[in-house]
Order: sequence, then structure tokens, then C-alpha cells
Amino acid sequence: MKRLTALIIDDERLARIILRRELEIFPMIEVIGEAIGVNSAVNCIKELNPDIIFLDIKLADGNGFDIFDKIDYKGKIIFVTAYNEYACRAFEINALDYLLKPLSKERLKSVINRVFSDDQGQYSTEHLKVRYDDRIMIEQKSNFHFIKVEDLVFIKANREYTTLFVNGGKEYLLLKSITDWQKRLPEEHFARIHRNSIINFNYIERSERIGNTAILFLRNIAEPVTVSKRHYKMLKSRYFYK
Amino acid sequence: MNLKKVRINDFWIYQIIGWSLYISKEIGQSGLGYYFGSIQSVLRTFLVFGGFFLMTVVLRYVCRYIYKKVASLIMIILLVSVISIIFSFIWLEFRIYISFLIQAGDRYVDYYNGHLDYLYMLLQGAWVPFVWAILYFVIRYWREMTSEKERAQKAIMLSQRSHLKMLRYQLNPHFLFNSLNSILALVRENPDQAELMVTELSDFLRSSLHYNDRLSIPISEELEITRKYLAIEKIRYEERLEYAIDASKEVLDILIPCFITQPLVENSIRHGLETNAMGIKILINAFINGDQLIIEVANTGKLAENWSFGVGLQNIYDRLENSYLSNFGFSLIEDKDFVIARISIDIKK
Repeated sequence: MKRLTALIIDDERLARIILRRELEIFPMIEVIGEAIGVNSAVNCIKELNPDIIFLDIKLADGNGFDIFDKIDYKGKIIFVTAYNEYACRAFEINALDYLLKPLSKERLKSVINRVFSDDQGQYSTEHLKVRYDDRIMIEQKSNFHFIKVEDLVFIKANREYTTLFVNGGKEYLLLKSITDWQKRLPEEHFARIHRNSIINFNYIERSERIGNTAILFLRNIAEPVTVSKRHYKMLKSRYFYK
Repeated sequence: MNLKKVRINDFWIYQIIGWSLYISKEIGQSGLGYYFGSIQSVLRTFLVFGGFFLMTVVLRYVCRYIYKKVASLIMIILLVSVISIIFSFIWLEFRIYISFLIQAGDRYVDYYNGHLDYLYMLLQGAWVPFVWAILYFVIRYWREMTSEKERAQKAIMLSQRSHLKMLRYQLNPHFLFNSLNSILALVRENPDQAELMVTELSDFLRSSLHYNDRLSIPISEELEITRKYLAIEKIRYEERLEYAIDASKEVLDILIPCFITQPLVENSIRHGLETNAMGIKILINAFINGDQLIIEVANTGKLAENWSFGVGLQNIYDRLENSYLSNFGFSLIEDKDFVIARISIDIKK
């Protein structure tokens, strides 16, 4: 079996010590470095290019997610965190995993086992809904992006692809069907309004009625989106006359 | 504002009920004919009762003034008696004058002319404002007792709610789980310190549970809880956290709402380390300045540009307001290299 290299990122020395010590039990994992914050992590990843990173979300000089805005990384990420264990979810769970503090030997073992096993079926989170205050991890060509669910404005389908419009102007193209998105996003905030679109209600600025359907204007999105006849009724009954 | 509105409406409801009863009684005694027998008597009736009504409107302001200024019950009764006679005099003269005007063959006029039984008339007339004033005092007192009770219940509810909030603070899962994780690391690296941390953590948790039963504690105890909290965080953050606590002797026994300083320290650590990853210094001072008690929690660093009172600070503010009404100050300021949270409480000597 191939030996994997690992980087530990945590701003507390004692937290790094315990993780390094527990990882010594696994001969196939080699800890090649430690970083204490966003900046040192970026340098370490650049220099060492580890296979796995163990990452605390709350770092001394910022947020663990910030690292991936500054550098391309496509290895495995394991979040090591005290409490908000579901702060991030992903479609492709094999890129991500979680460990809770205080660290448990048992859980570490199963996480390491999953790193080496190809079968992710048992641990699939496809059925799990994401929460509005979560982040979701999306994979692009060279990088991971961690997007806040609350920043999702509009999702548009294009054959087997979907385009994500994120608050702030960024767009991402994903190989993911719109039905997959519909299953995962929280219904209190998101709704399918057309065969090819899902919107976040919190970004609706105004709507214009046309016959027995409507078009919606979303914040920071130039083109209005059309509500289909079929979805308009549902939309009206559920959200407009609460 | 709302309360006042309700009271005004109630006043008029009581007025209408009271006067309806009185007028019914009068009509029952003297018969309808006496009051409404002729145009003249109808006119007189309206003028008399209208005058009566107007009088009580004036009487209301007099009673309100007495209610606020006079505390002794005997004085109140005496004052009300004198005022009732004065009002009765005015009313009597008013009625006689009207009777003369209307010439309705009033029995009062006969009395006045015949026997000059003026004193009897005066006392009889004083009965109405006297009873009216006494009723005013009784109803007002009863109403205030009820609202006092409501206020007391509200205070209890508020403090219970803040207790719940406090419990959430102290059992901050981040703090707890991170501390436990540090202990896990220390068990082998530095067993003595692991032991120390277990006892400090237990003490801190115990005192937070214990003090939830109490609204206020002496500053000495409050600072001891805060010191324990800092000692635990010091083990976690090591050389990145330095602290000092300084309290002058004269403040140690002063009672303050409990868990006021610990959330400030928690705030200092969080925001201080965010702006300065290399490490921070926290200074806690408690002292007397003039007739004010000052408690300061200062940390090295700068205020964030768009900072605002977060949930934690707001909670402290609410609890201070609950305890001291407006006799306190709470501010967050930047001074040289420090961010200082300052609580000042007026103390009477």
C-alpha cells in the first residue's frame, strides 16, 4: 500500500500534538508538516503538496476555508473541529471527512480506513439535506471551493450540467443535475420554479405577473427568471400568501 | 405608554358606572318627575349633574397631586375632607345660583331662605366629593398593587431567561471540547498540567452551575471564576495568552450580577487572537473612581472596523440594565494598543 503524506493545520500546539501522536499508530500515514494558520498552511501546501490535510476550521489568523481561496489543492481534507461538525458538506464525500475534538482513537481509525478504501457507498451523504448555515464543497478542475449555502442565489440547468450563481458574482459549472440540487437544498429557502431553475427566496427583489405565471427579478442577477405555470401555483400557495 | 392609555380609559369607565349608579339612586328617591317634569327641571338637572361631573374632573387632578405628594393615610383623609367641603360650598353656591336663574321652585332655595340650614346642606353636599375621592384613592392603590405584582413577575421571568442564557454561555461547547482535547494531549506530555486542568475545569463548571442559583455575587468571587477560566485558556493557548487581574481591596465585597466579566474575557480572547495571531495580553481591573465602581477588561489589539455589540455584550448590557436601571455605563473603547470593555456602576456611599 502506498504511504500517504499528511499535513496538520491547527493553531493550538496541544491539539497538533495529540493528533500527531495518534497518527503515529498508522504506519501508512506520514505527517510531513504542521501549520498554525491560513498563511503558514498555504506555504506548507505549496511546498509539501500533502495527500491529506487535517484542518481545524477556526484558525488563529482566519478561517480554514480561506486556505482554498488562496491555493489550488485537490487532496483529501479532514476537518478536525470541536463542535460544528456539519459546517461543511459535499456531494463527493470521498474528498471530505470529519473528526471531532476531543479526538477519539476509534473514530480516527475509521476515518483513516475510509481514506484507504475505495468503497464510499456506506458513507454516502447523498440523502442528507444541507442546512442554510452550512457550506458546501464543490469541486472544480484544479481546486475545491467552499460556498456558503446562504450565498447561493440561483441554480440553472443546462443539459446534464448546472450553473451556480453565487452572491458576489461568481459562477460555477458543475456536472450535477438540477434534481440532485433540489433534493439536497433546504425547502424553506430554495424552490424549483422551472424545469431548469432553482432560486433562493431571500434574493427575490420583485416579481412581475404575466398571465397565470410570473418572472422574478433576483438581486445582482441581470436576467429575470421565468416561473413555469406548473410551479407558479405551488409558489403562490406556499410562499407569497403566507 | 400603553399602560397609561389603559388607565385613562379605565378612569372614564369608572366615572360612567359611578355616576350612573348615583343618578339612578337620586331618581329613585325623588322620582322621575322631579328631575324631568318640566323643561326647566330638565335644564336644571343637566346643569346640576353637569356641574357635578365637571367638579370631579377638577377633583381628579387634586387627588392625583395628593396621591403623589402625601404618604400618610390620616393626612389624606383630612385633606380630602377639607377639599370636599370646599367643593361642596362651590357646588352649593352654584346650584343656588342656577335655581335662582331658572326659578324652578327649588327646595334648596326654600331651605336657604327659610332655615338657613346652610351647614347641613354643606355637609350633605360634601358627601359626594368625599366618597368620590376615597374611591379614587382605593381604586388607584389597588391598580398599582396589581401592576407592581405584574412587574415583579416580569423581573423574575427576565432573570430566569438570563440564567438560561448564562448556562448556554458557560457550557460553551467550543470551550468545553477544546479544553478536553488539550487535556487529552497533556495526559502524556505533561501529566501534572493535565491534572491541574481537570481540576480547574471542574471548578469552573461547578461554579457556573452553582452561581446560576444566585443573582449577584461579591466581586472577589466573580474574579476568581474569571481567573479559573483564564487559567484553562492559558493552558490551551500557552504563550499566546498573558493575563493579569488587579482589584483594589475596597471593591472585593461589592455585589455585582454574576458572570459579567467572564463573557468579556471570552470576547477578548476570541477577538484579540483574531486580530493578533501572535498573542495577546488581557488585563482585568476593578477599582473605585469617585462614586463609581469601575470594572475593566482590556486586551491588546484593535477594534474591528465594523464592530458592533454582539449577542454576548448585549446580554451583559441587558443584565446590567435589569440590576441598575440607568445608573451604569457600559462601553467598548480603543485606547492606545488596547481594546477596553468598561463597566461603570454608580454606588451610593
